[in-house]
Amino acid sequence: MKNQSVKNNIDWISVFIYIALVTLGWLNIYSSSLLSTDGTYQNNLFLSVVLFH
Amino acid sequence: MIFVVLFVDGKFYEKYASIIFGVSLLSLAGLFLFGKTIAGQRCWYAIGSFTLQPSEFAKAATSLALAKYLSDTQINLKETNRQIQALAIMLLPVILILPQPDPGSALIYSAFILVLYREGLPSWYVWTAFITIVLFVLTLVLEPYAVIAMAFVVLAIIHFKGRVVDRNIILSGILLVLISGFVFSVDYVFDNVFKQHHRDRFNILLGKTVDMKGIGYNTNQSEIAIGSGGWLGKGFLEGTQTKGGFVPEQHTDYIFTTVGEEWGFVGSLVVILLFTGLLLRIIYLAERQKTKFSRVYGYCVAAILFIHFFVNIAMVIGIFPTIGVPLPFFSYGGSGLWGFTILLFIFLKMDANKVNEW
Repeated sequence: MKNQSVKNNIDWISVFIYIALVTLGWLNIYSSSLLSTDGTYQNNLFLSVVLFH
Repeated sequence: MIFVVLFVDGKFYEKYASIIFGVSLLSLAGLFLFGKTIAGQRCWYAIGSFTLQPSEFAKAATSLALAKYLSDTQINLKETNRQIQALAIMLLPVILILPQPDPGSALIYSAFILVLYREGLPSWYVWTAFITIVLFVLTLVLEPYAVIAMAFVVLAIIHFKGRVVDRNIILSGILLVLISGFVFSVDYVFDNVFKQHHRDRFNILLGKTVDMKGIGYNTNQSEIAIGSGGWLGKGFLEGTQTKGGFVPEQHTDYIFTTVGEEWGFVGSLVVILLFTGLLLRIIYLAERQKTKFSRVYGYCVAAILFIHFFVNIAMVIGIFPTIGVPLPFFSYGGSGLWGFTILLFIFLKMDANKVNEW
């Protein structure tokens, strides 16, 4: 049988839930990395979040 | 990373499952020689300014190895030697992870028991594990004689409720003796085998000790943060407990406390529903796979995500001892996110590839 594109056959419901969870996770990590003591981002952690989460 | 996983041919994972598992075991063993120690745990490789935790990738590798082993048509998990071989695949990474020491990651591998059960492991294994945990906790809360009396009553009910031909007084008696022996050994194990911080965590959990400033600090602050969120939460970036830095490890294992405080009960419910939806979807997809390999792998993915999700949230709301288990896709940590993403997308690739299989 002819190979079909992954894009056509991928389960988009799972992909959507995955993206939703990662996005919500990113927002919450961002919030927990912002402390009221200095009112600024903890730059290293924030950068790591952007790069790796 | 996702594109790489999806780009690779679906058959690659089945063909090279054993090699991937072997490389994963080597990467775990290499930690003893080349690993970097952080907070007393030798769990990471340092690569420049970044760290890599191989145990996060070993979950996918073990899933592939177990799927490869169980997909053999000759495998029957009713046979003892097959059970031992399947358990060996599960336990090899655990043996390498426990001494790091990383009991949280090691605990995750118990999830594979659910997969083995789905594939034919006799149910008494699962029941024995469940009853052992219940007896252990009951013995810590109640007096041993009270637990044995309860076991006697339960066994008597089962004995007399069953059909007359199935009644076996000798078997019931042996079970009661075994249960009694286990119950009397719990105190010894708790006092002599467990370490002090393990005992403290159980005592806090069971309400025997109240130490809000010491060992119980994390759980207490976590519960305060979640409770203060109410129904709708305080709003994004408005969490006073979060902003005050009261909850330790909040961006990693305790990330769910931020959800509870800033997004409230409704936000927490949305997150729980998303996880539940993902788990049910994976199980649904696993059941419609055309090959046993991809079905078993799908169940492995569901089992690993389930135990992470269950243990993390139970720990954060104070009904499970504190143990380092992150919330999948949520907790901060590059290795964790990469590991879970690879785990999930290998399965989605297999699922996408099934139209090419007969």
